[in-house]
Parts: sequence; C-alpha cells; structure tokens
Amino acid sequence: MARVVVLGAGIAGHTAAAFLRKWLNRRDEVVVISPQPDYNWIPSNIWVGVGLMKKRQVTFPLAPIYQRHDIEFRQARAVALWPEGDQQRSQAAVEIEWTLPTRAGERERIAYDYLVNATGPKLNFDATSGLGPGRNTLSVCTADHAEATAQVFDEMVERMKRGERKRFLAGVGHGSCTCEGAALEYVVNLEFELRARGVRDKAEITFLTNEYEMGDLGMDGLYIRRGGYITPSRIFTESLFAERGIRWTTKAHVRGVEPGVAHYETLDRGEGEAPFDMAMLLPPFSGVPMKAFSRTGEDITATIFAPSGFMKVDADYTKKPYEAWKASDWPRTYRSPAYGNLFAAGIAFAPPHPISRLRTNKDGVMISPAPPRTGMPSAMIGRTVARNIADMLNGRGEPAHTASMAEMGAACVASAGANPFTGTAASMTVFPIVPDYERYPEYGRDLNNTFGEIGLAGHWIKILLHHMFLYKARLRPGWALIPE
Amino acid sequence: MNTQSRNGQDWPGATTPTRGTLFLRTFLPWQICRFIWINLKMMRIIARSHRGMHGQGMTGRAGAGPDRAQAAHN
Repeated sequence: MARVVVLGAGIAGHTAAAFLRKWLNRRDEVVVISPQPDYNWIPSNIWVGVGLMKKRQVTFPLAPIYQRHDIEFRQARAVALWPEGDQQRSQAAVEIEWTLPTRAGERERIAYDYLVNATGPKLNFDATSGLGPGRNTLSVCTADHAEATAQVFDEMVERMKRGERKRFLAGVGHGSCTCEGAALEYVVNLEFELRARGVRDKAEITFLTNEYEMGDLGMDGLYIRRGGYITPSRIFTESLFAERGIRWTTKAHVRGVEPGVAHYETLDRGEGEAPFDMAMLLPPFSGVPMKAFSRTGEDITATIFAPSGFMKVDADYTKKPYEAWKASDWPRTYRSPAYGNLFAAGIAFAPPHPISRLRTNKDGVMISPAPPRTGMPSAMIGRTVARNIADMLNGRGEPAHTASMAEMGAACVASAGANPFTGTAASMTVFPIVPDYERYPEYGRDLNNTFGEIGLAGHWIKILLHHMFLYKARLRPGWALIPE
Repeated sequence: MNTQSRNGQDWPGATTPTRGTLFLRTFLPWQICRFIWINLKMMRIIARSHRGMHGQGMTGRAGAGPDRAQAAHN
C-alpha cells in the first residue's frame, strides 16, 4: 500500500488528487491537505467581484466529494517537509497544522511515499504597504475577497446613482505581479457593469499595470494573424480599453497605497499617483512558506525551495540574459531534483525565469510581470504529475510524461461583459505558452494556433467553461472526459 | 468615448473598432458560427497540448493505459 499526499486543493492539487484516485489501486491512499474547506473555481471570481455571481456559485465543500471518492481530506496547512524522515522513522513525512475549527492549531506528521506540492501562491499583500483587503485596496483572488469587492462596488454604484462621481482603479499592486489577464478581465467587467447599471458617465476608470506594454500578459505579448496583418496583442488590448474609455498606465510598480491614492513609480517616467474611490489591485505571489529538514533536523529549505518560496523542479535555473532564455529551460516533469518522490504542480513550482523580458528602473526596482501558470497549465501539470506517480508506483523508474509550458498551449477566455445577448469576451489561444524561438524563429509561437477574437461567442464559451469545469471539479459522472 | 491615455498623456494611437465590427460582435447568426469555429480551434489546441503530455508506452497496472480524456481528444 502506498500513500500519496497532495498539498493544496486548487486547480492543480484537486486535478492531481482526482486523477491519482482514478489511476492508483484502491488499496493505495490519496490524502489531500488544504487549509480551506472549499474548492474555488477562481476564474469566475471576476464575476463575483462585480456582483454578477455569489460565492456559493463558484465554490463547493471538498469534504463530501472526497469522502464519496475515497480520498482522505485533512483541513490543514503544511508547515514543514521531512523528505528523509526524522530520527524516529525513516519514511518521508510532511508536518501539518490543522485549520479545521475543532482541531485548529494541532500539529501532525503524515508519512508519504510520494508528495505533490500544489499549495498555490501566498498572496503577498505585505510586499506593498497599504495593499490588500482590510487595508486600502480590494482583491478578487479568493471568493471572500471578491464578495467584499462586490459590496463596495454596489455602494459606489448607489452613490453614483445619487449623482456623485467616482474614480475606479484596477490592476496590479506591485512591479513583480502576475495575473495581469485577470486584472484586465476585472476592469472591463467593471466598466460593462457600470454601463449596465446606467452610471458609466459618472465613472473614471484607470488600469495600472506592471506590463511594459498593454497585452504583454506576462507572456512577452503575442502576435495574431488578423485582417491581413500579423498584429501584436498590444494593438488589440489598447483598442479594447480605448473603446471603453478606460485609461491605462503601463510599466508601473506600486510602492504604497494610502486611503484614496496609490503611489507608483514607472520604468521611464519617475513617480506618479493614482487617486481612487475604489481600487482592486492584485498582489504579487510568493511560495506558501514551508520549511524543510533533513533526517538529522538540519534546515534544507534552500535545497528544495527557491528564495521566492516556490519549489525547485527539473528546470534550468542557471541565471541567463533574456537573449539566452530557451524553451528547454522550462520543467517537463515537475519532479524535485533533490528528492525523486517530491513533485510540484501549478503555481507552486519555481519557474526558471520570467517569460517577459526583465526590466528594472533607474533605482534598480524590477518592473516586470512574473510568468502566468494558472488555469489550464496548472490542471495539465497536476494531471501529468498524477500520471507519473501512478506509473512510478507501478514500477516505472523515471517519469515518462511531460507537461512543459513550452510545449503546451493554452485556451483562455477573458470576459468583457456578462450578458447572454450584449456581453462579449476575448477568446484567445496561444501555442506554446512559453515562446520557443528555436522552433518558431519569427514570433516564438505557432501563428496557426495563436489567435484572439472579441465577441458574444466568447461570452457563451466562458459560461460553458464555468459550468463544465465546476462539473468536472465536483467529480460527477464522466468528469475525466472533460479536458483540462 | 475616446479618452485613452498612456502614462498620463493623451495618446491617440489606439485603434478602435468600426461600426461594422461592433455590430458583428453581438450579431447572433455570426456569433453562432464563431462559437462553433472558436470551440473547434480551442479543441485543437487542447488536443495538441495533451498529445505532448504522453510519454512512450505505459505500464500494465490497472488504469495505466491511455486514458479516456485523451481518447476523446484524438
């Protein structure tokens, strides 16, 4: 009997756990450890944040589903890894601290044969003073954050209906943030909702981003064949904003947020201020803090984790200039080079370098997006890790399945207004996610499989995906037929 | 609305859609066609990405063969 422990029940962790249960023998144990009791389909938090959906429509309790599918669930957070075991026992173990209210604070060590680290990110609001819920800005990173944001949005709309003018600020709250696509999606949905509620003329909307230019999306931008031209994503993104009367500021690092004003510096223009009545700024991510110890109790955290807190895997972490970055730098199996029974999936793995060119301003402040690795790539990595563990438990020596972001594409639908007849969304595919200039010398990507389009059809697809992926996550009949 | 600005300065470089483009974005017959076309395009990307995930050969343990989702893509 083997035990596979999965840390985290987000898109990567939940996918890995579900496929592990499907592919392992019944006598093998799958244990999921997550500090939250609920699964959250995070892409739809955007709609919760403008009041179009409730929290219950994007979340569901994990325990009953895991119970039904013979997956053990412990509501706890991982605090330390003992990949060589400890002085009492030689089997690798993870130390957890329960967050279940009835056992809150209790610690326990769980032995494992294989471990999947899919903890996702730590939302590092502390990186910018005054950033985050409970301080001066809002967020849509969790369903609770998004509901709180929707409440403030509703209050703003009510005051605008009484004749007040309001300033909205959305974007990212630090120079090293990722998920610019989610921030973009939020701001265009906010604009659409203001129009739908008849108060658009009372609103001034600004988008603040760390991207070098609009449409970079942390992927170094992309090129699309359209209307007889090969056109950069910047053109489409700027058009989307210009059409909606949304102002934008690029190349910005938010240094701090005070009530009603964000202070930022840019790559090329020095300092600036963005006043607001309501601000939704996403935080930068870091790895979920976890220590690691050798059998003798020596701290080996730096062996397993990068300084950012993300887990080192089979990537090439050699420091290189942008021009020397290669597709082959990116991990393929997500296995720890230090311990062969340790894998990372989703946001928890340390990328070898960004995808967008690294840039710093005259003061040495890095203002450059971190690489996105949410959604489809997260799920595909989770599934591949599960496949490899299942094979290795069956006697295969080395992982044979791969999910390099430089060899996989992504399909993404960014809502630009939710209405079944007047709404629109930007549908995008990109192949591969990480540009491969050896294979596609001109643009780094396959232009036959990289496209983008705005229209009502995209909104229908977004709705379809919302229901399809929640169905899959609930592990209902035929769930495994639905692709990641 | 044409209030775009870049880094705080008015910047007239953004393209804006024509009336025809805006009309087509929500014109139902056209959008039904696009819905089918975009779905096919996305399925192609997903299938291609999943193909890249599979190593050579599988071991004989229960459930270790090519899975059903993969079969659905191919």
